[in-house]
Amino acid sequence: MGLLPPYYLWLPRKIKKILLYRFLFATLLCSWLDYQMLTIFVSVNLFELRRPLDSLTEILGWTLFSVYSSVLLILIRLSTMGFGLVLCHIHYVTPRCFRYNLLRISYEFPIRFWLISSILSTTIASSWLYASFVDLNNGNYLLGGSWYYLMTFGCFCGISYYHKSHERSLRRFPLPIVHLNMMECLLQIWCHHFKSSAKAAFVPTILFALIYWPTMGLLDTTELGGVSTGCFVIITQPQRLFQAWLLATLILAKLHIVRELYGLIMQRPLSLICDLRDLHEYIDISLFNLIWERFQYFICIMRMKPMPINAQRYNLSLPIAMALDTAEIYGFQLLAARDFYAAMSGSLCNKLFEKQFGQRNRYWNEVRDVIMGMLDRFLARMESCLEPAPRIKVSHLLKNKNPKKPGIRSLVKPTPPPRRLCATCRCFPSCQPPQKTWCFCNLRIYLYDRIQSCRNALWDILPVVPQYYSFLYELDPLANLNHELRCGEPLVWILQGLVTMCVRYLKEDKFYYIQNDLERIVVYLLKVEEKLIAAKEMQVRGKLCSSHDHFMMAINRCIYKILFTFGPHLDLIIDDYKLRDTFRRRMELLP
Amino acid sequence: MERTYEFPEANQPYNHNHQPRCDVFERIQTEQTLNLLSNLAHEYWKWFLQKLAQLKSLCFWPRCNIGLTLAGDPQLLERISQARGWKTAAIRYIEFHPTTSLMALLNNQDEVLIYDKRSECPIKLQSVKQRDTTCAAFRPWSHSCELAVGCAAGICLWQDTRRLNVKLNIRHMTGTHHLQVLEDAAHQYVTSMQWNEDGTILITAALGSSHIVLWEPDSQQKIHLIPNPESSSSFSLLRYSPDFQVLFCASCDAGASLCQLNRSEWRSKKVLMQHRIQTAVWTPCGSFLLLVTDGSTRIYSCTNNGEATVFLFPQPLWRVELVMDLQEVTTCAGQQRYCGEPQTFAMDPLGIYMATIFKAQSFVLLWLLDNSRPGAVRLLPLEFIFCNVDGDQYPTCIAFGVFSSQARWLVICWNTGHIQRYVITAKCFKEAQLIHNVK
Repeated sequence: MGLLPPYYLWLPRKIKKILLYRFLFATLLCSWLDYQMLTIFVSVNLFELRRPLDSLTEILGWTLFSVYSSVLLILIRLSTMGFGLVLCHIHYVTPRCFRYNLLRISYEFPIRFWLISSILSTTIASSWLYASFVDLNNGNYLLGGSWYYLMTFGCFCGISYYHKSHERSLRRFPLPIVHLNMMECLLQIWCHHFKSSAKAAFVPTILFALIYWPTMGLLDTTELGGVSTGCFVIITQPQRLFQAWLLATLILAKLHIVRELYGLIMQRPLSLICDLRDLHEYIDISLFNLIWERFQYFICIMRMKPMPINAQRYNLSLPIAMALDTAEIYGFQLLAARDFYAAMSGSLCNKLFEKQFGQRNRYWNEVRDVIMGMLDRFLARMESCLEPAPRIKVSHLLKNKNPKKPGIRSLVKPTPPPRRLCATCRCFPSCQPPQKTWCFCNLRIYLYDRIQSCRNALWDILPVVPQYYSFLYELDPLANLNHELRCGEPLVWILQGLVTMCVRYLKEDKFYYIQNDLERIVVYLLKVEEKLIAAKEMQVRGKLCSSHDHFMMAINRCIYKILFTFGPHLDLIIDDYKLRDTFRRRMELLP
Repeated sequence: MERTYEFPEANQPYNHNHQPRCDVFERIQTEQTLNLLSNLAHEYWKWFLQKLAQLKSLCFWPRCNIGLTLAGDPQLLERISQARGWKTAAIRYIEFHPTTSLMALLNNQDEVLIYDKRSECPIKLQSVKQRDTTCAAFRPWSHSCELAVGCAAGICLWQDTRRLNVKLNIRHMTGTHHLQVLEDAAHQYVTSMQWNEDGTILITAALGSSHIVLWEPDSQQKIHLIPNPESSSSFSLLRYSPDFQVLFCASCDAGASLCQLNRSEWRSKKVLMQHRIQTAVWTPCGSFLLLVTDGSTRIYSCTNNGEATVFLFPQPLWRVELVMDLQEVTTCAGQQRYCGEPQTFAMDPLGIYMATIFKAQSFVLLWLLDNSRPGAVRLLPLEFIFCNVDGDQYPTCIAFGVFSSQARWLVICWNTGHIQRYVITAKCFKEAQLIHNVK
């Protein structure tokens, strides 16, 4: 338990199980992928058309029924699992606020370390396994054989993958635009990455062979003739190049597919339901429960009876409020928010409007309380970020705001650098230097001159240091604001879902459950918009993150939709006359 | 193949006949063997060609060839476009904003003209990347009046910067509109596009690919969807049902798919028809899809069979029925004309009227749409609308738009660039019946 991150431990049991089962399923798919890769490599290298049955038996013997392969495959599976764990951690962990870059780098260092180690261990184990099948038939051991070549090339591929895909920033899995059929997605991912990896592996294979074989030839013979032997190997044994290309294709494809696969499975749609969260909070589901629930469901269908309500809870369905109230596990909350938005335009919204005993709709109340709570917290945090910022004076801006693009003149004339005095004559450089007659008496001056020029040269290099220093320690004035915006990003989808629900209310909510809360929702929308506009004004201090743009576009859409839909019914919905006026003024601004 | 064998005459002596008979027998045998062999070779060749076709279809299987360019032939656009004479027509496409009075026209100089009720002079949008424009769609609920234009390079997304409230930067102020180009490998020569109801996702089909692309411009993401995995042809027409639960995708070659979607899950199912679908339109009540196949004058309606919904996991069953034949059309006033093959349909946003232009006629036919009878739709021909200026003119594209709370307009663009407006005031079917004196 100590190894698990705290955000996972705090989750309700049901969500924990959902994440666990999804992770295990993704790992299972990855291990199946290992077999596919191995089959491709081995059949391309070892299958002989002249004796198909015999070679097939041999291949099966070496792969499926061999202890050696099984052990290595377990190693590969473990390292892939580690890679998946790191990717999931990056996805689910809550964003942090870093006031300067060094803090971010030091925070990311252990994650990056585990990431690169898992990538390298996967590639090393895979290359080891594949390389051991290369020289089985007609082994050619010239210049150390293919084993070392493929091993080093495999590692090189792993490093280049890390460099290309994870070097810049640790990215979360992208949110799915729509959920497509899983099998179709898997097939698409498989085909797409094999194609792109096959293309991407081509140039590195040639470059690596051009470097590796001549170097090996040189090391082998310790004379220049070895280089030509190396080149000779490249020309006369193209199968080595082909094997390396195949290995690089498989390794790159595997690393890419594993990431996509974990992203796909962990972000499958959540089955959201309208139920009270208390009833699901402490339910601990297991595989046995799930199977039993399916069995009961089947029996009920056969008898044409409705399923007992208690039995319905022993599956992976989640109440909307429970799924949305997961601020501690950011990636999951984003998915829940997105699914909430999707569900609100589907049949789940109708269920939320269904008649319940008594006057209150408990499901809606629970969802509303969770969303309003989130909005309150977001607004309060935004308030605290926006408040302490003092207004920047225009004169200050004029002084400090240097144009970033080359070719644009600064608004203020730059102050000229202090003119340095010439070392030899202690006068301005424009004056004539004294005639250089070298003798013992001016040796001191000569030496002094040399030292001075060295110092100047050093001084010219030195600006790199402040650059690095400023990169690492420069304070980001909008760090807090950006952090809060990023933390609030699930609200982008939640608000859109809420507005979709409000718009549907006009036609479908026969029991007026939402009508009482409509005014509050509108007020919240206006408040969020106000805070976002205030945040935009802070842009002069630094760069706002992309979350602000997402927020701004979503809130504009929401307000437009609300104003357009409820404009004709203003007097019925809003009691506050001030708000009504604001509403009317906003309606005039509509395009 | 005619086979003629010369048999020996009967009066010839037996002895003399013995040798030639053997010869004939052998000859027949040899020919039969040769025939058999040639048949075998022919069968084998057929089998080989079949296998080759299978292999080819496997290689070009839409699921595998993500990113593989199909023949993006702009000449094909002329054939599949909804505009009559796409290449030469002065106006290629008309699009109305779903909630405001904005109207966008695409002309054959690859410019977009945006007309506003408030100003007389249109805004002209053009770009080097905007070539061979085919279709356009206003983004719903967008504060900055975004317009997506389908062209050869992909999609040009224009945003009105005057409404964006962005910090105006003199260096980047190139005009009133900001352009963002959405590109995808092989997604060239966009044929059709649709926004979803919230304006978060743009769906496009293009000549260059056998899949449709779902774009989310806010987060710069896209995914590919394959509506018909069995065929590798591209799609010419996309039509969202009014409740946004079904997407109709007509193929450039033959048939169409109906994708069931509820925003959380998309499933592509069911292929309609064996011929290429020329045009299709959903009735605003959402239950009927009116469609016409290429080369035919018959309008069919396609509707979801309601009986299927009694099952636990209802599989949508689509029923196709003949609505009417456009060979000879008699209006309610008794005027009769030969119409022929329709080019495109336009549907009134309130679902009362429908208009049609034909491939070879110089008029627009206005219909009244009667769906008062449950489970069936009836089209009542009202009027043949001719060009209100002199000259040999034919309509190229049509569209209905809301211009005020009182009136809607049917806008007709003629081949010379003349734009004609036909005012419609009826708010319901009964009112329209009274106006046009139809029973």
